[in-house]
Amino acid sequence: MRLALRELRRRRRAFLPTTFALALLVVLLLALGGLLDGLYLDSTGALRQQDAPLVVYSDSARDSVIRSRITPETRATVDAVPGVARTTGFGVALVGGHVDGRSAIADTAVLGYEGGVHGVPSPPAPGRAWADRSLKADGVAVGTTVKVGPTEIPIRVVGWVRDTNFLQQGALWVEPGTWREVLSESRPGAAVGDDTFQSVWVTPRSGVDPGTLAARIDRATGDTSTLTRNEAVMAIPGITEQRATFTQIIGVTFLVAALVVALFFALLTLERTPLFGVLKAIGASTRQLAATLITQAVVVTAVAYVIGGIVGIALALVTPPEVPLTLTPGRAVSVAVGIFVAALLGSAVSLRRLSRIDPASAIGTGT
Amino acid sequence: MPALHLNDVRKTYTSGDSEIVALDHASLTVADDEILALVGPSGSGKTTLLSIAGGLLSPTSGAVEVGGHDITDYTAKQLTAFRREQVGFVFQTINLVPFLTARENIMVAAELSGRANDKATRARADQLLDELGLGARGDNLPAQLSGGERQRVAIGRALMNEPPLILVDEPTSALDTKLGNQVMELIVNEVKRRHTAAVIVTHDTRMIHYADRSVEITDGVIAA
Repeated sequence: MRLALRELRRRRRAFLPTTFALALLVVLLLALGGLLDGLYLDSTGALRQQDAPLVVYSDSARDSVIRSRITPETRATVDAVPGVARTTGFGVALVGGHVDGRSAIADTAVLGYEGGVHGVPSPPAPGRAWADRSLKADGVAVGTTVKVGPTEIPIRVVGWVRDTNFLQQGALWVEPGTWREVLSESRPGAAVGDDTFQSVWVTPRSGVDPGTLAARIDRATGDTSTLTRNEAVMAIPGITEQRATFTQIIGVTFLVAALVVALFFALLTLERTPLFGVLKAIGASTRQLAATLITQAVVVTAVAYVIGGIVGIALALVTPPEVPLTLTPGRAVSVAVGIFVAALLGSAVSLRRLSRIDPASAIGTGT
Repeated sequence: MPALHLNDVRKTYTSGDSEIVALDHASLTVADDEILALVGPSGSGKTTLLSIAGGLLSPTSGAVEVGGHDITDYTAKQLTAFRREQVGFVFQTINLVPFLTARENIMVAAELSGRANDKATRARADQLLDELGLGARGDNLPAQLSGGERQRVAIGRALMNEPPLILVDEPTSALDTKLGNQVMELIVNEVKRRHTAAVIVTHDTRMIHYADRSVEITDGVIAA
């Protein structure tokens, strides 16, 4: 251990290129992860924040809230299913919003709801909305009026909520009547009648298994598709594809990190073979030398992570608000764990070579 | 108790279908305060003998005892501990750890034994530095030392754990006669001062008068 740290301290330059390369990879991983998280969070907040664990769509909607319609009759059938404690209606209208004094149109998601959304107070009065904080970047403030849709229906912001957007569009949470009005004005063909929603969220009675209840609901109605909250989130268009794409890129980046460490320590081990031979000759065990190598890999990675983390945070701070880069503690931890595992795996490649160094090589009789 | 006792030791290697004999029925005893010069031409088997005595190689047959320990059948792990505690090596090419100071190089064997934090270990390292005339050079890296000073650090490293046997490999091979004499004097003086045994391998017959006794080895056979 001491040997490892002394070498790190006194041969700093030898370790700098790898530290620098790993720090860049950490920045890349944080940026990629931050973009993935930003895209995911900004697309799914409206569904993730629902308190109820199940959502009912019409069967023909193919798991899309926008295509779905739940009539009052269907909802009554759902309400009557044994095990259902409560249902809350929910609908979405994606419309442009105009804020006074601003020429640019803000992309908004007008969300009609009846309650039961984490972090969002009870529905406000007609023509009022709780706005997602992300709309601040579009000039929205508490008390301002956002004119939405082609007929510029005025909606006055009465307070802020966070992490509730839908499909990258700033959420305006309104009572169901306001939502229906916005929907019928912006997309007349998609207008819904009184008491009709696009979906209903279902809270099971205590002790009722959500999976069992979902099947029971679909059997009772005959024309619905009931999903868990997570299934509904993953069914949002593009989410699965985004996650798969970014996960692959992140995976490849971790692989590159492992290769960087493997290559560096393989070269370092090769360079130090005579030294390791001498150390073995005077009584160092392979385990002690392996500990030296792993300690150095861990320290180099830790320094690279700190440097990369600082640069990553700085990058996130200067990124314009339209870029959905969100650094979360979970992402920071997963990058840390991933980069350390990659470093350990990379350094492990050299352990075999290390174990094969013959102590007799120090004296010129090695095999 | 002898510092080293080799009894009918053979070391052979196979190369294809043929057998190469590096050491042939070698028997040798070195007393506990004796300095032995092992002399022979290149390829005579002297370094093989030194390696077997130091637990770097295992004999094909025969028995090896160092300081009363029969190491003939030691496992690789036991040999590692043996090398750490029972022998001191001075290598031909000095081979100091380049990123450790003179003091740390002397202490490296103790560090490998987990005794680097002992006050006694540090005190012993400082004492060795003083005795080797390196009192003011303890904090210098090998690159900041002269060739002679590096050689002295290597000797200090070999003596650090107070082993019963010091093994020295061709200490003068790269030196002119004057410097060779200085190095031999230094080794002999330090070993004698500690009443320790040493085997010094050399092909330079001008140096054998420094030893208490010299033994010649040719083609793996120790001269009677």
